[in-house]
Amino acid sequence: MNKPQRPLSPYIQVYKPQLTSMLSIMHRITGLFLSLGLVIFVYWLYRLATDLNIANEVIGFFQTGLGCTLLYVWIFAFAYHLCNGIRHLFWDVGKGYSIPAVYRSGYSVLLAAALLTALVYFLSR
Amino acid sequence: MTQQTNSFQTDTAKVKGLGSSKSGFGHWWMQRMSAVLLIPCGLYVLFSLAGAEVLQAQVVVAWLTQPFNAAVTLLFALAGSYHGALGVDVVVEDYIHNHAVNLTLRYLTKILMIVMMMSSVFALATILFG
Repeated sequence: MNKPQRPLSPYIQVYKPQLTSMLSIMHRITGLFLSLGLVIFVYWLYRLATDLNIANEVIGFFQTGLGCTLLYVWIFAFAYHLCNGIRHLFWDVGKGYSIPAVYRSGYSVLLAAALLTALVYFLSR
Repeated sequence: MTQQTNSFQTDTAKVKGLGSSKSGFGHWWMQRMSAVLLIPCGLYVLFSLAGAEVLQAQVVVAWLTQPFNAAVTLLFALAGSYHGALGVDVVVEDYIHNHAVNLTLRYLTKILMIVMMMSSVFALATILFG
């Protein structure tokens, strides 16, 4: 196969970042991050059934500075991916395609994800 | 057909081999169906764990001995593993252009998904039926 000798689109080096493209790539990045988180979650479930001490060590790690930061990045990623996923489901049934609607739903998703993360924070106090 | 082709296939053979009207749709559809299931299950697990007074293994195990909690957590883990594997599949397809690496990564993704599903079924069965 001949490789085209021209820049491929989108030419991201000169592509102006916009809310729409940033939220789109964030959906992928949060999705990958959540997949990693789920591996740890399932490992933790397995340890809850087999060795409570190790299960407590996993909780202990998420209470350290680094662990807690990771946990809240994970919770925000979860909230964002969930809200933006609902936005995608609306697009899938053909709703909300106008440019103003796309921006409105985009900002709403960011706001909702931040609020959900804050709610988890206050509930776990 | 007036269109010139470089193929020896008959028109019927070409039509039968084209398009995604069969299994191509399945990947997209299951991604959505698992997503819909994950909305209530994910929120339930997240807020149950966030609301636990003390987050200790013993407390979580006690919570999981309630059959409803165990069922929702298992659904979350199973649908999540499946949804995650489908998503990683798409990312690998899009960005890994070396065919051998592409196939290997997608194979490993599926194996990891199966291991995660087996582990979560084992874990919740053990907690429930000890």
